[in-house]
Amino acid sequence: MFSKKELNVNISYYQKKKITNYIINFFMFILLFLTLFPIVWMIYNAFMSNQNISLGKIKIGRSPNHTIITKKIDNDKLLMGTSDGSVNIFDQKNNRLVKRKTFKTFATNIKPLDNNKILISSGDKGFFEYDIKNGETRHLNLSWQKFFKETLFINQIASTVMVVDPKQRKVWTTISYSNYGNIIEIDLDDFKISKVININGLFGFSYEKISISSLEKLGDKLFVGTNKGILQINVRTGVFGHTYGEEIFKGKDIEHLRKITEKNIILATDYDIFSFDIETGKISPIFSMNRNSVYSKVITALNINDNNIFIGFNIGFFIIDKYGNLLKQATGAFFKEVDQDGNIVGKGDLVEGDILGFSFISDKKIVLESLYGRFSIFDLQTDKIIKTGIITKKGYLDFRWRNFIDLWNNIDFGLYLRNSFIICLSTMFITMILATLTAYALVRFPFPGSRTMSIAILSTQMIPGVMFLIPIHIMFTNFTRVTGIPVHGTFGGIIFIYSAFFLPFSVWILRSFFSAIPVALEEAATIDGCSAFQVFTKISLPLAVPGIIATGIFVFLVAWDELMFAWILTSAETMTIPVGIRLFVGNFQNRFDLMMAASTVATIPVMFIFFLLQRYIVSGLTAGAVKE
Amino acid sequence: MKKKFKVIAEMKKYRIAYAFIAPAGIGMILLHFMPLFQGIYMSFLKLNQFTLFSYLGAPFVGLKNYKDVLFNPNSPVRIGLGQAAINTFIYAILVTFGTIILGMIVALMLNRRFKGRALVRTFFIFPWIIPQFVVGILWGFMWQQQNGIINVILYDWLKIYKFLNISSVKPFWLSGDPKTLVAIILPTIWRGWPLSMLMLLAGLQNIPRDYYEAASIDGANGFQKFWHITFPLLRPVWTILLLFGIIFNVYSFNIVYMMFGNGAGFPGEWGDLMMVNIFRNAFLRYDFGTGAAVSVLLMIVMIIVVLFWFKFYKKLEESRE
Repeated sequence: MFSKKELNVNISYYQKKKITNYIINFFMFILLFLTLFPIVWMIYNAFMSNQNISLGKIKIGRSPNHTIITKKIDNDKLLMGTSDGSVNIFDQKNNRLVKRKTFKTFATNIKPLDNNKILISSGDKGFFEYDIKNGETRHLNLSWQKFFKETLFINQIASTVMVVDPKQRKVWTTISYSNYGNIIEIDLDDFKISKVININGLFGFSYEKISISSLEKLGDKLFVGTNKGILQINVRTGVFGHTYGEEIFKGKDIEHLRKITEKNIILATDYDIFSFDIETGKISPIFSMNRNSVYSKVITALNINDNNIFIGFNIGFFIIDKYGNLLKQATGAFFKEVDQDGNIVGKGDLVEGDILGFSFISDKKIVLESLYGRFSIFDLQTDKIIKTGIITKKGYLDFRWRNFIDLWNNIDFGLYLRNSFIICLSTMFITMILATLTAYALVRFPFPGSRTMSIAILSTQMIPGVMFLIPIHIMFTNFTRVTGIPVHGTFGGIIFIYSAFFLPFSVWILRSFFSAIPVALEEAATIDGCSAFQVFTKISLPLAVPGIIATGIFVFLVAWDELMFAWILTSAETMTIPVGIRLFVGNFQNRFDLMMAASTVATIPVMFIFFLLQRYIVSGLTAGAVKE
Repeated sequence: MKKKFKVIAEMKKYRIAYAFIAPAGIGMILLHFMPLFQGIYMSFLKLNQFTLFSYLGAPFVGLKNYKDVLFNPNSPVRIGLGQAAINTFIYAILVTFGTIILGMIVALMLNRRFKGRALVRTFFIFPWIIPQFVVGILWGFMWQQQNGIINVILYDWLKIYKFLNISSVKPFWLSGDPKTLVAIILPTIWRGWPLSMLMLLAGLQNIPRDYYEAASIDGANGFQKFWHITFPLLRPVWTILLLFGIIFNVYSFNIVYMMFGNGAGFPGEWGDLMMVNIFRNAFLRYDFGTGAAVSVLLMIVMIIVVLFWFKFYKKLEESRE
């Protein structure tokens, strides 16, 4: 038997080993996490919206965007809509979010229809009607591609505008902001599009596209604010009326249109406010932000209550009457300090913030709305902030497939994918046929010159790719010039190049597989009366299949990844994925969501092949290492 | 005379072998050796967009291209070339050794018995499946200044500037200063090490366990076992990895070309590599003559490196015997 002392030593030895194993496992999993993180990050960002990526809102819990509408529904409850399409009900009394519904839309506009229902228009998902009481949602998909048979670049959507007529039960809205002069009329009863009004060509220069930036309705007349001026449309008869102010608003967007009386509309550009008499068609400036040099600020919000005009800018607001007399100016710290993710920082101190909207909850109280879901209730009599709040509930994971659709629409990704598959698969087949023959001949037949061939195959790996590229580029150009056969930018040309280019490497890998097949087998077959070619096809080839598969996949992977030759030798029709993505990266440097989506799509076929044939790849790659 | 006949007879005997290698041989002559000799000849020509159509009939300028590259500091070829050479040297060395060392560490970790080993190995191979151009885009995205995840983790979450006593301004990694070299080395190592790991692991699994048992009886510790058993027995693997790592990384192109998405693909002073430099020189400046000259010089350097490697390899073989 063991003595006690020996036993102790043994136990401690195994314990030590166990602990070391735990430590090694710990480090291994840290390393595994670090290794996989970039891949996970790529796929994760492929599903994020570019807005959130470029704002750095990359965590899973995200805050709402800026508040765009507030409405009092019960005594103490406020309904708040945000620009990313969330509808929140906020309890004033205990500063809590009672209810929340998210539509995850982009370029959202929200308007109340009546006491219960609100309408949401968006740039990407279409039009919604939401009932606050029972939570019923109706959705109308306003897909740009379906309607106008045109590709809508998502970059061009900045905001949607909307005007609601509760009596007629109709809504007029736009899908996109910047390039297209279309207004869509939606009937709320049957919840369908009843009319599409195109206003292109109605202003002086017909070839210039019009961007609609605001809408307002008085009676039957719809007033459209654009970058060219105001247009009046009779929505009942569908007759286009006059255009106004083409001289005054040349190239300035009319950002806000609000009716103040039944005859007057207040309109605002970035710095100036005008009064517009709809009977005489007279437009007169009443207020300018440039007048006082201290407040030369951009107008960020405009609203009207009781014949008074509320103008918001980045540190406060003005109240003027309808003749332009300044009634009140208030500047100062109105909002809580938050970081980009919507977390309160600095112990809740108040800071200045952009005022992006006003809402009126009683005669004396107004709600000021700002970025990151912040709002504050301002008392007009005492000029003080009564309450300041933030829609604190954390957001949602904005998981979207839309990036992939945009990818397909914005760049010709389907074509690149098809080209890449054609080129890589053809290359793989041609290379494998040639490489199998060559490798077999080099291994089995000690013919004169076999050594030279082996050395030549190895030495080709030492030549820089650029060295081939320049002569091949010129050779192709001259070949086409002399014979008239196009090779530059054709599938044939690039497949020929790739096949020859990846051949030496394939031969080098395959050699080790063929040399592993016992010679005795082949000798036996020869004695049985097989010819040399039969020995190859019936004995050696079937035995080398795993190696051939492994090498073939390797060739496919390398061809899939090849950029330099493809960059020079493919045309617009034969472009492969790396070239397409490289061009895309050059043109759309700020579209990280699409870049990551493209990367993900480019990786998926390769990953799929790897999973399918993993065993072959691993054995093929390691064969060389073991054989030495 | 007799010997010559013997060779012809041998050739006749191996007719089928010649039939087998003929297509590959023709392909290699057409697309490897012809372009190679043309490229070497081109390096003696004044070949730009004006003389491109006459191709090999372009004016012969002798060694002028080489003189421009090596001795004329005012020549436009020289812009960034020296720095690119230095970068390529540092890049190739660090990436090659980085991949081998990291691959060795993980291979040793995976060469134990534990549950789920095959799965972990599969996950470790993942980066190697990602195409290089994707690696370039992905890491370019991650290295961004304000919202790049690397800066966010280091500066916003871990707040490393507090421990390191550096400014809390997030650094811009891809601006062309020495940081850029780090920013291109790390992705390449990340993408390349699984291959080394796989090959080293296959080598490790071939080492008989008896050696280690014998060593532990003799009282060797872990490091001694590694240094005196594992390392020498894996020599065939790591020497091959060393050779091919150096060759591939000197000729590395995709990652750098994709990472800097500023149109011309110019990665700044410290992010420039030889291949990117030559490519830019030849195809954006349309100066193929000097481009070929630089390629020839690079190839000569590589041949010398490979010859040195063979010498080193032979020395190792001899020292063992």
